[in-house]
Amino acid sequence: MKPATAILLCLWGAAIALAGCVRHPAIKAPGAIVLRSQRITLPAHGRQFSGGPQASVANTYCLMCHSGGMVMTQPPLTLAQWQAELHKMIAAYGCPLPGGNIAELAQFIAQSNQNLTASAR
Amino acid sequence: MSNPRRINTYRPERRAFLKMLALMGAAGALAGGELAALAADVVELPFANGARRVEAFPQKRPLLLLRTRPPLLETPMSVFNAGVFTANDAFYVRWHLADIPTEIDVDTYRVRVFGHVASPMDIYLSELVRGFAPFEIAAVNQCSGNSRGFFTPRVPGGEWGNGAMGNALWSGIRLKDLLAKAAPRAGARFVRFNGLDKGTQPNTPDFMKSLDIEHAMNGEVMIAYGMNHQPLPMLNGFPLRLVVPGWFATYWVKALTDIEVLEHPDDNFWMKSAYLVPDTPQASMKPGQAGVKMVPIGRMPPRSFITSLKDGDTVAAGRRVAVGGIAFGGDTGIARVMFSPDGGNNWHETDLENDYGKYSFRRFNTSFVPASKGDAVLMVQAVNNDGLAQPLQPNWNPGGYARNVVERTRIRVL
Repeated sequence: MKPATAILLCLWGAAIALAGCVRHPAIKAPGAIVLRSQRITLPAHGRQFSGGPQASVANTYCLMCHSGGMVMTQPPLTLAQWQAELHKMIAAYGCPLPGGNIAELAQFIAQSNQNLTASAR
Repeated sequence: MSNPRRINTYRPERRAFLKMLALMGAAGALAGGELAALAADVVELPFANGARRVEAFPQKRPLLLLRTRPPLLETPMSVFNAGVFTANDAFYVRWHLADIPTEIDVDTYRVRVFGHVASPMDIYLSELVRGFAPFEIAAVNQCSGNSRGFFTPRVPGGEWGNGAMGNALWSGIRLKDLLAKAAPRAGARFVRFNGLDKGTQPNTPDFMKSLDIEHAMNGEVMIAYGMNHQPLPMLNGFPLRLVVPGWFATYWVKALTDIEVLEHPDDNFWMKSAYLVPDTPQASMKPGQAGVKMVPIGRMPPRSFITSLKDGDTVAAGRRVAVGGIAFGGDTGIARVMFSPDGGNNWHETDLENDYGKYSFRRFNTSFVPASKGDAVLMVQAVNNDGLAQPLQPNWNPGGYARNVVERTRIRVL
């Protein structure tokens, strides 16, 4: 190997090492804890609703903020309790569900929930 | 990574799997993309609608899946039999808002200290972890709604079994030291914390929590960069989370970025309207009871769990049975853990193992000889250093918070 080639190889290696440092910074904290930049990929979808026109309303509005598991793991709740939950989602959490949709959507969710909890007993 | 079949706590049998199939079919609530996941194991928590798939998320072993987005993941009870400290990859996960951090650049991550202070700061992660005296404390992190699924009558919310808790050795810096550098001005009364999580809708209230400034400055409240001598998992708040020893986890803000000193009480939604409990003994009231004063949840009461035996286990009559488990005192240490082998008729004191500090889990051990065959109810009752004992009757409140009734383990003597 010619000296010039060796030097080029060394420089190339150093550049890669340097780039590595830049791409993977690490902070050494006391207690030998090393903090490195991180990225995770979460599951894209959770459970979704199906079974009728209200399912698409539920998939549009409920799933803006949470997957269907939140709804489907609830205990047996009454229609009135589901209506109260929908009102809370709109008033407290900013769900853009039009108020006129509450009655029908609550009915759909209450029915699904009744089926779920009945079969789960 | 452990085999998910081995971490099931209750009855992870084929029966449960078939039931799950029936359940999903009955609801008509299953999307096509989920069919592949049906092969997963299912754990049956012992309350209505308690079937939970067991699923692995990034940096986590398979845990009980309550909700995919934002994740709610429960620790199986068997994990608590493995030791006093809960493994990071088994530690439960709880987020409120859908837009949670999935990428952190440690070079650019900063924490702002601002508001009613003389010297507002914008401090890089490296400065924060190296610029202050290191501090460590063992402390239980427990969701305010841990065990909500056992409430009778049931209440809506995250329907946890008993596994929305964990114990870790937290490494970091005292909040007091950081706040002192920012120099709170006269009249500073509260400190508000915010993290990277956000809602997806413009009107979703940002998740923020506050502490009295005296509490924030007590030298125990800390900012942790380490959990059991490792960086925090992303889903537990990497790179920094607030640690409030003895207090429920709602205050332990994850991916902490904002520390705001306030002159006035915090009236944001998550302090004023959410996480409220009755201002009564045991945070308890009657369903439907009117006129109950509600206050923000705070200190934890004592709890204890048998972890060496679970519901449905069998033991042999006439042979000595070892019983072990974990206890914590809440906002102070454990004084003693009492054990009853016979549904509460007779009690004796258990032996306590190593003390890792007053906010940690503490392991207890005892034994008994079952005399007669048949069903037996084992009970454990923790008493903390303030003399507070776990109640024999469960509490109730509409939020499903702060359950700490004496636990019962139902076994069969053969």
